[in-house]
Amino acid sequence: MKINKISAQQLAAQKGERQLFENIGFELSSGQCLLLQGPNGSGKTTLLHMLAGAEKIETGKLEIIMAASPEPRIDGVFGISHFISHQNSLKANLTVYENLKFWTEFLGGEISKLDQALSTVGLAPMPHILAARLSAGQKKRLMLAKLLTISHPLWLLDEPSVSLDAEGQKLLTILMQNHLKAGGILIASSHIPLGVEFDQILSLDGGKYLFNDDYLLEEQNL
Amino acid sequence: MFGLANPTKFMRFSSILLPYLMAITLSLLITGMYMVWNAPEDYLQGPLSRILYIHAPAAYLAQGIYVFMALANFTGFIWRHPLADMAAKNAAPIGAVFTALTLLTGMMWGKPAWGTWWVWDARLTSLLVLFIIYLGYIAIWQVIEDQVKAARIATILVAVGLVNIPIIKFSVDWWNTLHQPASLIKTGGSSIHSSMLIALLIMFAAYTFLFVCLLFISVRTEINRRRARAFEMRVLQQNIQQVNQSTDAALNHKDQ
Amino acid sequence: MKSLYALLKRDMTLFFRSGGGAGQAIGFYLVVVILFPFAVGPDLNLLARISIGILWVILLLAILLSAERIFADDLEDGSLTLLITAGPLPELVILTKLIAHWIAIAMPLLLITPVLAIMLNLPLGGLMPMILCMFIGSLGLCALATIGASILVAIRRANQIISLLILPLYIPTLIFGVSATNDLTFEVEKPYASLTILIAITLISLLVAPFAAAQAIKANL
Repeated sequence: MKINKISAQQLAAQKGERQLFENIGFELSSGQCLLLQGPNGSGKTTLLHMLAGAEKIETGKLEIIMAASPEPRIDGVFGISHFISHQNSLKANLTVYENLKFWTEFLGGEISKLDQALSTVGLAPMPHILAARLSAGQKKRLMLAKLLTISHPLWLLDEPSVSLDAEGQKLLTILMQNHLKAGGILIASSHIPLGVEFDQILSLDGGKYLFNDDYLLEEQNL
Repeated sequence: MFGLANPTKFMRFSSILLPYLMAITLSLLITGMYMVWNAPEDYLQGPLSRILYIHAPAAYLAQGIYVFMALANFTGFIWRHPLADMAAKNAAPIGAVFTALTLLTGMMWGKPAWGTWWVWDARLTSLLVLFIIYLGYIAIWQVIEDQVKAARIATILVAVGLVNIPIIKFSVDWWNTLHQPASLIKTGGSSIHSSMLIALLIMFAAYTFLFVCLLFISVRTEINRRRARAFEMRVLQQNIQQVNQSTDAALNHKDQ
Repeated sequence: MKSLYALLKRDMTLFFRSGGGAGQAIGFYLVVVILFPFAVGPDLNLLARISIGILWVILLLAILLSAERIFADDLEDGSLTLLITAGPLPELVILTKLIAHWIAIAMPLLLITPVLAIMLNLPLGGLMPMILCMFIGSLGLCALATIGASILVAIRRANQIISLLILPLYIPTLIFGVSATNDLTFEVEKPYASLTILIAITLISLLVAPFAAAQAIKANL
């Protein structure tokens, strides 16, 4: 499975009284990557959630054209994207192996790649350790193993380098490079360099308040 | 006694002691059982009375182990004695099993004697409550991953229990007399035949030694488990370092 | 199908591993059963009369109290987002989680019902009807609990409200569950009438719950 082109037009998001962003658009083709930038609270995670299908797209549209057919994909990103966030989606009471096996089976990956993936991220010798006993960085490595057992063409990574040590970040860089080389598409948010040259950069500026009562601010001398 | 604080010393010491303890336990149990087999039957209850020899020592351990657990927990709390907490932790399941044994033998005795498996008699009920307290205590150790934290909570629990168990016992007695219990057959006569008494005492001793054996084995297993876990984490750490080096090599290769 | 089986297996493993819910469920049943004789007195005849009702109320409470667990853990570690958006149909995922929860909460109760029955002096002929009716009724109760749990995803950490939302929905199951058990135990004229209604209520709950819960969760991830 390969994505030919993914394009977003006029995406907008609102949280409470705040317009996080509006009129966001981009277009990526096979092998390209996009970096999301912006201060905390500017909506990077929300945008990634929208792209992953976890949040409904109210305005604007997202179009995906697969290599197999010229028509836009009906299911959107359903079943073709990886979403890695600060939430680890690992169960403390399951072992390293069980956690990876579950997600691989559930998301339709290949069980045969499991051992190879674990040894790539450095967790191979102790697959039966409970995830509860892993450090934050080791957990992150386990999540990265998921990228290897299930080959989806679109990677959505939200601050993927968080809690990884220097070596772990290098591992991440290699994984991303290989993904792009294989024709995958990558959209990541990060505040530090990820070691990949991004083709496009999208800056979110922090949005605006919908009910902008300036006089209230003046009264408070703000 | 304090030399035992060191797990390595304990392992060595207990491995020497354990075979002797097991031998004593086994011989006491066999002697006790033999005497019970040959002891005269109670003229009212017949062979049913023999269940007493299983039941009474178990009941004594059910309560005794709780007190032991409390003492061990306090030792661990005051002198920061890791082995004491481990002893308390591992005594709990043994105590629960003896409590269950007491309850089960009580029920087996109750069916022919009272005509029903279970009555809400004061002693049975108190013991049932004790069983649940054991279960709660065991659950705490299982639910809290960090063993040091678990030990602290367990100490609090056992302390509260120590104050509360007499109160529970008292209230259950009061509740039971208030409600006019069902007509019960009085258990046992006032005079116990001397041969019965000796058999009973031997069974008490056998049970006590059995408890010590089980506790030693259980604590040894726990120490070994912790060693294995520490070893696992070390292997994992080393492996990640190795993988890091190969990652480095791969990246440098690409850069060139 | 393979995905759903994997999910069922994972949820069961989590429930039955130490620190999971299964042991706690059994402990809960035991404790609550003990409370009743303390409250009404140790009279075995009285206990026999109310035992069927007591066991049903305990089943209902156990399912209610454990309901928030259905989605809470998955919500906390981010698994829920992936479960709902990246796998099979959300409705099927929820149905699977519902069944896993049912097995984990109701099965332990059915297993120790004989023990509880002895303690509450349940008439011996009532044991099999009790287990049969609870087997069916508990599935319906779990389905309704799932709806409550899905609403908790939206309001997070306000789990007191779940009793308020769900208990009224439990009333039909309770009424027909108890009466079906009574009918089968004491062999009345038409012993299967209540049982049929109980089955119907369970099936309807089972049909409605996945759709309602899926909507509630999708709206609030």
